Amino acid sequence: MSYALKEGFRGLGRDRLQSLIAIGVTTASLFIFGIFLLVTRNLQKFVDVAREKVEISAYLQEDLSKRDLENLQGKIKGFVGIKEVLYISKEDALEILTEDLGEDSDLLNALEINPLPPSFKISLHPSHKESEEVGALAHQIEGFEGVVEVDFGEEWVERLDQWIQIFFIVDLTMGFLIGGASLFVIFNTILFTVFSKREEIEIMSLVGATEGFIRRPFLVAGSLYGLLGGGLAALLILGLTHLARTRLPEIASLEGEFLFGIVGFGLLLGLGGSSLSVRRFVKIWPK
Amino acid sequence: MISFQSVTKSFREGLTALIRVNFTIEKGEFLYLIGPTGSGKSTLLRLIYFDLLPSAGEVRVANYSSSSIKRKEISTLRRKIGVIFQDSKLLKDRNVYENVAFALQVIGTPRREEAKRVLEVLGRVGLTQKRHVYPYQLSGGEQQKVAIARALVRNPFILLADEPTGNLDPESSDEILYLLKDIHTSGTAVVLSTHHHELTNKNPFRILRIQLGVVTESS
Repeated sequence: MSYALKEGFRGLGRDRLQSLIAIGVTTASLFIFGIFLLVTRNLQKFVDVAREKVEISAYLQEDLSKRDLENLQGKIKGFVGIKEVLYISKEDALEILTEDLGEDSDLLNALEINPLPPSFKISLHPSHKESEEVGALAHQIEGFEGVVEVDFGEEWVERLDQWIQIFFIVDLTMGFLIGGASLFVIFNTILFTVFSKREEIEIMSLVGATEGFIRRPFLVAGSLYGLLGGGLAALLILGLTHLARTRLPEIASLEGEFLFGIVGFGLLLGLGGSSLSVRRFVKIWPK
Repeated sequence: MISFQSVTKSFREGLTALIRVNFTIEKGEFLYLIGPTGSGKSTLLRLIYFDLLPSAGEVRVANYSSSSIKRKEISTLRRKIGVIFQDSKLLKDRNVYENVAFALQVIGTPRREEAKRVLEVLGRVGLTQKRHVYPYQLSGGEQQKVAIARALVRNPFILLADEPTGNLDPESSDEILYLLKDIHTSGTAVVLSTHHHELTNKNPFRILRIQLGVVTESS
């Protein structure tokens, strides 16, 4: 193993240009991938904040008795995921609207009657705020007697979920594309190294070195390309996030496990690329 | 020790290099393989160290058969076979000592044992004084001696020499032949492949002639 490590490191120094290209391409690829992850992470954070505000408003008939209201409130509370059911009377609704309008609240003086219906303001537990679940819940509440209309910002919630899904697919696609590109570059760099060391490989094979022994230094070199590329990409992302946060402190950075994930992904690409290359071109099996 | 039983070797391009070859080599034997360039000498040697497998027939080397040898056994077998070529195939960026030691390093020989064996074998080929010299600083004959030292350092039971004097002047050729004879005397079998028939006059050993892939015994 010490021979493989020594030769692997030597390869890095010997084929400097090829090593730099392989490390550079891996760094650039993983950096772009990291940026996409960072954007998705921030979008996710934005969606989480927006989802916190998701609640269902159930507008009620005006002639419901106190007992009807209590029954209805009890039934809604019975659903899984309901955090709180708050009754907003016609008067409360008007007061809230007056507060919301602020200086423009004088406009309401022109109204002879209070047009606002009584309602239940239904807040949900965070784990039950996916658009599909909220929609299903709202639909069931709408079916209760005494409920006239239900509103939960359906379009807004669905759109956010769609964006998250799109970004997730983009991340996955980028991961595949970038992974493929890095794999290709590392494969070819190792192929070049194998070619430049073909005499040494031939002699090794001739004097009885095992296939594993001959292949290992190339696997070490490939892993180093990936590891260094991943490490540099992680550092660049860290630096970029730090810089961005000096201007926009609310930006979310990638957690440690994501950064380690990028380094690990780099290592995997390096090992995979070199492994494919040596499996194809370093063989001792007779022809 | 080595036997070829009805061995035919064809290549994908449609060329048949060897046709139904039968012969055996006994332990410690010296054998000339004589034939013109392109007659199939190198193919025959490559079949012995399992760089090629026969298209038909069977090659047996020591206890290994071409029809049943496993991947790991190929490395094990090659550690017991020394091979030298017309071009010495030395590593240009390593000195004489390192070139010879390389053959031991790749099979995991301990350092102390490595030094002992490398110096011993360099002494045998007369290159101890030049152990720190690089290949480009050596004559053709000396480079071939380093290749022989590299082949011998693992104590092979057979040394396959594929046109080892092809690039050498008569004086260096004689030195290499003398060295090969000495190796044979110490108990290692030697197969010397050459297209120079006159070499056989210097040392009267068994001769196999090869012409267009057909091998015949000759006295």
